[in-house]
Amino acid sequence: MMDALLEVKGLHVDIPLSAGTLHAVRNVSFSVNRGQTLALVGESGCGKSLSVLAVMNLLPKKARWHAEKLLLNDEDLTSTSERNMADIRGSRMAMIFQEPMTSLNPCYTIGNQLMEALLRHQKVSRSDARDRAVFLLEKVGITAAASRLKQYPHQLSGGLRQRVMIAMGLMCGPPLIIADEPTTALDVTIQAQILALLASLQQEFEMGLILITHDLGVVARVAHRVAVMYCGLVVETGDATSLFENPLHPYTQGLLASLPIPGKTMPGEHLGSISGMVPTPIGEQHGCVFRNRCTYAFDDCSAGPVDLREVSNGRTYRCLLSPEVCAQNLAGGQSL
Amino acid sequence: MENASLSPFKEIDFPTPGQMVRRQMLRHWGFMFGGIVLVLIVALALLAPVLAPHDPYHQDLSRRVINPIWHEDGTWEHPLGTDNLGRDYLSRLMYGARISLLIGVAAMLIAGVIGTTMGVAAGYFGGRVDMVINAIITTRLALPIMLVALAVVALVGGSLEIVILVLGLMIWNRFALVMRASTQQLRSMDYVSAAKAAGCSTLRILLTEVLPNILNNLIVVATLEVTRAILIEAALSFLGMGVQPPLPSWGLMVSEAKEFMLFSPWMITIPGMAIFILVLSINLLGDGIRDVTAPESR
Amino acid sequence: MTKKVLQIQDVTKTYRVSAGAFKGKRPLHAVNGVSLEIEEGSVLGLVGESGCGKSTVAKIILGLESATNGHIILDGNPISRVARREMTRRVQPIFQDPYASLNPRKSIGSIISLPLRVHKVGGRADWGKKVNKIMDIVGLPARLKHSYPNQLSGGQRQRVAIARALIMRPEIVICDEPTSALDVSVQSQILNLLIDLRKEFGLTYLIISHNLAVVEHIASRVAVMYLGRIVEESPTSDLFKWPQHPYTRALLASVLTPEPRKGLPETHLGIAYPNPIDPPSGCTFHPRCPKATELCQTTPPNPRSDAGRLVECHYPEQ
Repeated sequence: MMDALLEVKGLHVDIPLSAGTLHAVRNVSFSVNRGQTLALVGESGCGKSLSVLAVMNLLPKKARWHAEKLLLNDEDLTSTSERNMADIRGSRMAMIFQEPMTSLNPCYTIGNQLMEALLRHQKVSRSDARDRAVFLLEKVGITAAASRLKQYPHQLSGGLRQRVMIAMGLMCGPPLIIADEPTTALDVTIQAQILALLASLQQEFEMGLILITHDLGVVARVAHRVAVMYCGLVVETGDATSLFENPLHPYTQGLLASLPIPGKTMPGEHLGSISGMVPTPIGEQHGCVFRNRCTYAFDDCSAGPVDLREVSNGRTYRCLLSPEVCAQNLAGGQSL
Repeated sequence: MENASLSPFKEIDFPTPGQMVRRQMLRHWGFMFGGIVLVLIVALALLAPVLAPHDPYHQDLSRRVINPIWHEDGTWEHPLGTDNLGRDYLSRLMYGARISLLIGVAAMLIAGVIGTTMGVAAGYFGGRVDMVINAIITTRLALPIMLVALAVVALVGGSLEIVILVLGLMIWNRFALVMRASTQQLRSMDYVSAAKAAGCSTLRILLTEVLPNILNNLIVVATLEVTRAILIEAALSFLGMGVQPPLPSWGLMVSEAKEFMLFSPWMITIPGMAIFILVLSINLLGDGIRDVTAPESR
Repeated sequence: MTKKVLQIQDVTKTYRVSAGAFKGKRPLHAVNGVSLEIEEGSVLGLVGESGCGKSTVAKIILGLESATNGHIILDGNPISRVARREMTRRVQPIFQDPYASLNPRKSIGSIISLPLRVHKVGGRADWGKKVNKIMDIVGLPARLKHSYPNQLSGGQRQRVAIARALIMRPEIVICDEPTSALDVSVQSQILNLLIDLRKEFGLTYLIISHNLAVVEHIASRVAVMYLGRIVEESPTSDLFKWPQHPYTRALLASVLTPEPRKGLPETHLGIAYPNPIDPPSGCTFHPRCPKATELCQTTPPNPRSDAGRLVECHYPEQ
């Protein structure tokens, strides 16, 4: 991993609750290179958002985190000061949030907010900052960019606001962008446009992109590498093609089997489903995290937590079953 | 296989909303302190006929202005001394608690019914109903409570009942505004739509779907209005325009003690402190209720 | 000829909204002349994006809003002549947000039994049994009867909403984005449940969704809405294989299936977005349409019906 822009190893996030300590993220590791898109995909509560908030040190006050390794361009972020982090956020890594309605301050113009993103980190003149804002607004596909600078967020549609958010993230030219559900709140026809925009910008500026989403369709079409998370753990990683065409972990297989695909799944027939509910990770984990919902669970699954197994370079999964058995399960087409 | 399919984590039982509130109540120091003090005051007030050492109206002119127990010439017979008419101060204080609490609660109840009805109607129905009720609220806000109270008392004469009535008919504005805002937030919730779609009548929806969910705001406002009523009554009685002597209203006691302020400062301090402690405890309780019921996590 | 259990005839809903601080009020045609028919036992999918008016149509059918113009006919009777009691017994909703559709202060048993109590069906003892039965049918453990919504997961809450909707055995269920707020693995559980319930109770569904994959899976006919009008209506397989309206094509192209080799689709839609307060002239879709001509800018297209398919376009794909 010579080229690694961001390297995270052994990340833990704990949140103290009245019922006990919630081990929201456990021993999570991932890395992103320049020009690469990593998708962290999972359902609600799997810890994907908390993981990147920990990287940016933006966790809620009650949360506690620690990591074995957290390197941004070889700079160690595990024990860095808040002041240093404030400098890094925005200039060396930027975040795009889900709700364009609430991520932009309704009291300030678009231009003001865009320029502030740059002026906070670099000593440039206001007119240089304005020029860059116009340049980026045009890059993200907003026409009449110069006049848009004077507009307020409520005057723009959701799709336009998200484009503005993307432009804001790019103002300092950070090498790493983290997008947390960037298209979930948008209409489906706008979603495709925004994703295409992110992909082309990433190529052009050679950025690393971490995409967090629960939408497997988005992941398949956009990501180079995928990490599937479940209940605070990474349960499978790999490049997108290999993971979607040959999912190994029963959870990944179950998720993919539960999606209706026009033209592929039989209308009116039952979809695959995963029985049961996600457990709440409070207290000690006994056995495999997925065992209470897994059709293939056997006695050894309760012996102790399961480690990640590497199949080939970059392709890992967290299950006791061998890759061949997993492939057989997939071919059997069983719904869980 | 049974072993394998058990949950990897211990099952967590999430508490019901009621349990959550109760748990947080016990941990909130303001709530507990205010609550305990208030309970003590209420207990003293209720048990005054039993606990008070003397009749609060009994005058004994031979025993005027006896100092309380912490002075050298104080006696245990009158632990808080006597006033200028020889009436036992402790007994008057205890009976005074009854008056303050009675006025506070009664005025709050009258205002609560008026204000909540108006607020919920304005918030739920919107449109013209909202406009009319807003106009009424604005009119009421334009009338200063003290002046109206003084005018009424000047016309009709002061008494306990008049004070309660005037206060009840005037302090409902905060109820109305808060309940209106709370109801507006709720009226577009899906569970209200589901109740409508199930065929519920409007009244039923207001009572079973809306009211239980605005109850915590209602309780917080109620505690604030009790203190407001108590303070206004104290001020009116101090001016002689509220409760009439010989009733042992704390405000009246403060007024009667004015003349003796330099030589017997305790006479004016004690009822003043009593008002302060009562209002403080109710406010702490109200704050506690608001904190405890507000962050209802999902 | 199958019975048309619900007919929506040229329904319009106009709101008056202020267009700015001093600009006065302008009409917002949330629903602009919509006509639909649902056959008994079938599933009609109503799809569209935000602002197209599909949720408003649902609210009008449920009686939560009144139509400005047009009629809703339930089993041959206009709903203005159907008693509210009967209407609510025969048509029930399932809403999108499982967190907002249950009263947080009521127990699950109380929530589910509400329709029974309102309609005064049977006695108290009866209610308990009926609630138990419906909870079993939708897959909820009986012990949850005394729990409160905050103690349940999203999927369980949606099951409670379904139980409440079905306890009076309605004929028609209006599902407004029934799975959009749920996790993927829970979505499929709920969809399977809805499919089973329809077969078991002979229900008729109107499914409103922006998720075309879900609609394709469960609906027999699909109607596509854009800015308050139906722009295309077809049997499901026809619509997905041979979409006629350019907007339908763009919608279908935007469905991102988990097939990595396909990359990102090109929708050819441009950057304009639909503003219901200030709709474009002529065909309201023309600013975003790759095929728009001058005719499209000036003249709204008439709906064309052919062999069970309806499309409203000057240049529909054949």
